[in-house]
Amino acid sequence: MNAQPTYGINVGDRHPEFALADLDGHSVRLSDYQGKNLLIFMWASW
Amino acid sequence: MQGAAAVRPWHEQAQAAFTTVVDGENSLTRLHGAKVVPNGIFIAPDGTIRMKVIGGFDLARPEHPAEVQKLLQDAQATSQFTGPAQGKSSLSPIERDLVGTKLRLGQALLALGQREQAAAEWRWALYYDPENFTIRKQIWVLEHPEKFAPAIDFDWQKETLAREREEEARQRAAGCGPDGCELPER
Repeated sequence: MNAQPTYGINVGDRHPEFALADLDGHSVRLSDYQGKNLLIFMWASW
Repeated sequence: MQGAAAVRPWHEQAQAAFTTVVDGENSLTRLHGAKVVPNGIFIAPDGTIRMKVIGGFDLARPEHPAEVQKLLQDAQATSQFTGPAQGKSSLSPIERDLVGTKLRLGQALLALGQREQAAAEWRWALYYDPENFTIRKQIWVLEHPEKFAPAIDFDWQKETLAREREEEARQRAAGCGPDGCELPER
């Protein structure tokens, strides 16, 4: 499941669920971190 | 080189202890309306966003990890570094969906080895969203990989951006897009 376009999500909103693959191809979901603090750091190799 | 193969060397060089995922379709950046990286999103245990920094989020700067530490210590705090609320996009909903479709189609074509066709789809995405640097840089990496490895040539990026913006403005003024120009009405 990919993230669906939900434009304008801001501080105070609930983050929508998403699922992306890690470097070994295993699915990682936002819900895997339920009950924990989570920092998402978006970066690129370029 | 794209995807996990491009990311893994950086992850290993940093000896990163955190989980790295690959967002090949730019789904998270599109979700947040981000057109640049690096970005930082802090999510509380209840799933609430408590920090959203789009562009310039840098864990090497002392104040950014300090801000994250503050959020960890105070369950009610929100970050002072959060940028302005992003409720509106300059794109219409149809244009946003079209950009997303073009991005995904380009990724699929690239996975099939059709590099030129992939770049063509991304150029259409950039035509509709010209300030989106995540799209522009993906095109650059595809067409000029030598400018990104073994080192990133930022001077080349500045020069190329200036040249491309000038060309894009000229094309738009002439009614042209990535596939050519509109025929004048008789």
